Amino acid sequence: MTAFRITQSTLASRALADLQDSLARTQRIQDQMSSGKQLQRPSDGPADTAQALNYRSGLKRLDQYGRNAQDGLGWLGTADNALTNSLDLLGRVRELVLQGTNASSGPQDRAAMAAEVDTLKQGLLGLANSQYENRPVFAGTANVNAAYDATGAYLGDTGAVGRTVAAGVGVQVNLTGAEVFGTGAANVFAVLDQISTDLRDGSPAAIAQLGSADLGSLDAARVTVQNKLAEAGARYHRVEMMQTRAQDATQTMTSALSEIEDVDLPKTIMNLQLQQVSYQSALAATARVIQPSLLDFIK
Amino acid sequence: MGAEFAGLNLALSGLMAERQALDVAGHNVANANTEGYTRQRVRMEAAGGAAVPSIFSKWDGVGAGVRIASVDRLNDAFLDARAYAEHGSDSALRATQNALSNVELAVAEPSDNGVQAQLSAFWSAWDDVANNPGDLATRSQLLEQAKTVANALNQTSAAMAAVSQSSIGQIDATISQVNTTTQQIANLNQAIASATNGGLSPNDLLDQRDRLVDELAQQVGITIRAAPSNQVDIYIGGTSLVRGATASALTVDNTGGVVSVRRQSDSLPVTLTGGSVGGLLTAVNTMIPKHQAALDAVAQKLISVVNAQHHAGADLNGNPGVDFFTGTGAADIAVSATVNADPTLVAAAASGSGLLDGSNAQAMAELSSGAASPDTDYRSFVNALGVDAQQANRQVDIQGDITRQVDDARHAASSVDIDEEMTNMVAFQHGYEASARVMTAVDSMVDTLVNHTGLVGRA
Repeated sequence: MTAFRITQSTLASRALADLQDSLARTQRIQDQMSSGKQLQRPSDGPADTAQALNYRSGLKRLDQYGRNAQDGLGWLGTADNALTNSLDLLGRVRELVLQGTNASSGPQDRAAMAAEVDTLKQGLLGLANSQYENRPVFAGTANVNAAYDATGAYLGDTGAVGRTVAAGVGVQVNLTGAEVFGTGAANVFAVLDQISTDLRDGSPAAIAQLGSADLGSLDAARVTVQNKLAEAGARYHRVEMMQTRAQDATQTMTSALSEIEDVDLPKTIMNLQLQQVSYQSALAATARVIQPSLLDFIK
Repeated sequence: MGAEFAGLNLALSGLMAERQALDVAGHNVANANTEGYTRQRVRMEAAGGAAVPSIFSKWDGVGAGVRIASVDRLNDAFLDARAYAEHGSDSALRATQNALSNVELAVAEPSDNGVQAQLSAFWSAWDDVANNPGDLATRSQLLEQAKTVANALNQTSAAMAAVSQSSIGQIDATISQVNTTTQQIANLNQAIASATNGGLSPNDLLDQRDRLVDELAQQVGITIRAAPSNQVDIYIGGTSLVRGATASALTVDNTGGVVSVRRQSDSLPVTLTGGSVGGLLTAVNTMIPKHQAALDAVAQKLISVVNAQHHAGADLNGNPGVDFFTGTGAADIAVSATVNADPTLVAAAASGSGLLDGSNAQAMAELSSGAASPDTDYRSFVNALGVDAQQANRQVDIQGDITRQVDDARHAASSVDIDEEMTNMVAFQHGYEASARVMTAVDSMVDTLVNHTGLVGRA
């Protein structure tokens, strides 16, 4: 066979095919620019797509951890407030007890003190029934409207309420009434009732009891509340720290996702311009080559 | 007899030959842009005298002019066969690429609305229920999100099935076209055979037939074998499609979940791997079912993992959790109707804990990642689809280049070069003028002999 023979139709079909390729490349770059994404379908980069999906899922999880943490802070904050106020309240009761054991107070004074202790007991009940988002904070996981009823009986259970604040990391965000205020016959309200009774009684035996057993129980209750308050404070700080870490992780992951998915705008703009120049040169070359033939020169 | 009149015939033969050659050149030029036209060229042969001497006629050694031996069709049969093969592969790869591209569009990842985004929202909704187990509105929100996930899987599965269906429709339509084409080729074979046997040059019929064969190659990927009298036999795999003047029709068989093409006369299955039908068959029988099965596996994992975790928990009434999802695959996964009707049946609490416990819901939310997570399976599904589609794209590009090269080579052999035809026309024109001049010369010589000899004594 002789050397490769080129005819007009060969030139025409090759020119058309090459122009078509050039236009296809231009279109691809334009798609990327107008959508801002370099990964528009899985075939653009299968491994990158799987990684992008991973990041997207991770970001949603981190967002949820943030919301869980915020909710947990609400619980712990409410408990913290209630316990701080309870501590003040119990401090006032202690003062009254000391006043009551003092020989200088008379029956009328003690009656007034007993009345105040009763009011303080109601106040403490109210604090023990604090709610966060319509749920009693100290009732554990029981489905009840209040942690303690009017007589001081505990209605809740000992369940833990946890919040997931990071992958596999749960923090307990509640304190049960059982561990803070006690249950059964020895709970704080029973102690306050006893104090009120002893104050109204006024007999030397009652006053002696006021000064010893009652005061001892009251102090024990105060120490418990104080310890639990410290625990709540520590947990609060831990949740805050996890929340900050979740926010940092979100930042990092967002920029990693952007690296994979989003288009590098300056580079793409430059590619587009280069492609346009190349297309125009191809057009000019085609115009010059496919026009002349022997017919122009034979008369 | 003699030199003079024989000379006239000689010049006449020259005139006729050059005129015919000019006609052929004109035919070429007229068809310069005809798709599939193969250029033709006259083969002139010097006419000699009698090769066998006999008693009363003797050849004195001078030639008898020119003769058109044949009008040749300048194609290269090997390049043609190669072109059919490459066009077949090209069409097959394009058809598969097209089907996979449609499946990719249906899956639509990565995006903010795809199945992955819905799954992430679903897992987050479980955490919201864990944060507020007593709130019925939050539970209803979870159920809505679960329904959205099930819907997304249903729709993706349905879209893949739709791509499969439309491909089968295309196969049906193409096979009917193939049957028409093979019948036409058989008819042409017959006409060509008659023409060849009658000594005529069936060049344009051959062009027409080759165009049809090329179309057939793009549709079903064929191999050809030359038959006597310029006919051509066409085979797919080992099964014959056209044998001389008879064509076998094909039918599409869509029973038993596998689409195949069979010969109508005897239901013999045809191994079709080339042409657009071959590509569509690959997509419908292999590629799409593979990805469909992977998506079903994702749905099944979701159902089993969520149901198992749900059974381990207790609902708002203290009873153990029932099935959360129902269904057997991506096409029919749905939220259980009983749970959907009553949000209190969502098992957010751990079994044996208080009613407002949320630890089962938290455990459910943690299923968004890890080896047991349906999300991992889904990502593998998207990855596998992307790899297949990317490979199809690459193969189409490579095959496109090869096909273009083969087409160029074929054009080199068979297409019309106007410059060449112009040059030939000038040569034939001069040849005609020269032969005419010879005729004039002989004419004047005879004229001298007839009119100007033996006139002695006459004016």
